[in-house]
Amino acid sequence: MKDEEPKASAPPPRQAAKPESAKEPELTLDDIKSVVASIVRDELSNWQPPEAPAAPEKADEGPGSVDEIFFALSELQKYIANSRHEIAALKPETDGKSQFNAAKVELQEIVDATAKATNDILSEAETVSGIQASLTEKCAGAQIESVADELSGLENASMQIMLACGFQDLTGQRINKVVNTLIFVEERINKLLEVWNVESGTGSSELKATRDDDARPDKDLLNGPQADGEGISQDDIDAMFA
Amino acid sequence: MAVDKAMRVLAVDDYQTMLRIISNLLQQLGFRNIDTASSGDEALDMINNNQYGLIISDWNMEPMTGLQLLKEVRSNDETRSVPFIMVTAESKTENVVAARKAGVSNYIVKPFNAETLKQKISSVLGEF
Repeated sequence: MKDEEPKASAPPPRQAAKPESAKEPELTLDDIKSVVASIVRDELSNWQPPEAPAAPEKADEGPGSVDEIFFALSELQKYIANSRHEIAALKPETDGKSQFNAAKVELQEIVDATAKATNDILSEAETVSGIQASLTEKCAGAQIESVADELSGLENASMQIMLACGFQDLTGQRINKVVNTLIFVEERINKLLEVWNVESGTGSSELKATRDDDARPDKDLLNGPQADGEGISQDDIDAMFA
Repeated sequence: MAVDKAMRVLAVDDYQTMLRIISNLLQQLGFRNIDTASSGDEALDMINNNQYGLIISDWNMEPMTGLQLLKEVRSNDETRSVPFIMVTAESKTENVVAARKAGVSNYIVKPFNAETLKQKISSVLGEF
């Protein structure tokens, strides 16, 4: 390509200075454009496209491929119709007795039943504790040391029973998380049925610990109780306070 | 310094069972003046109208959480120095860090035992 560069661009020879009258004309912008256009034109005329990959054999199959497309579309239509039918079965009925509502009611029943059972156990533990305190007072005057030791054991046992009743708090919190997830899924399915052409990938497979309308500023931190291995131990927490 | 068992203690939890358990444990530890609140708002109202020597609160409550209650307590000149122990099922590091930043005195993860409660109270109030 260098051969084609215009001579005008070459620097004038130093040893043979020309007189003013013989001065070469100045290089203009149009000259440069013309040269560049010439170079580009030459390059393009020599360019060869890279070799195209071999076409798939099926493209040559002819009319059969159209049948396949129709068959696939028909299958897809059946699949969508089945999905719609199955999802519609989950939709709450007008009297509110949907599968979701039933599940929520059942879970609430569990919470209520465990709360009642726990309170009954606590009441009995409190009764035992009261009797123990009364006996301890009576025995103090009678100097019956062996009985006092056993009463102390009774006190510890009643305290352990009370602490064990703490399970109700934790199971209640876990069940509430499940209920919130059910509510979330139910709302999404209702929207799906209303609009149908809902975008995929908008749902979350994570267990929802809080409701969408939860306005608490620290709700992002409220995901407990943590599953085994997710949280840190009391010892680790104590180390943070050391 | 020894724990003053005559001091007024406030236990806060929206689960009545846990509130009852903590109250019983506090009684067994010798505390005689124990108040209970079943929400953050109720607790804040009680804190603003009484003088408490110790607050033991759950975190996950509605509408006001234990963390918000803690911040309210710490932002009030009258109550900012009251010992505040969080008793919660939230056991992630970021939870403990957030509570510490807000000024929590100590932190207990549920489920806990009587000895842990006693130790944490002792760490903020003194020996039993």
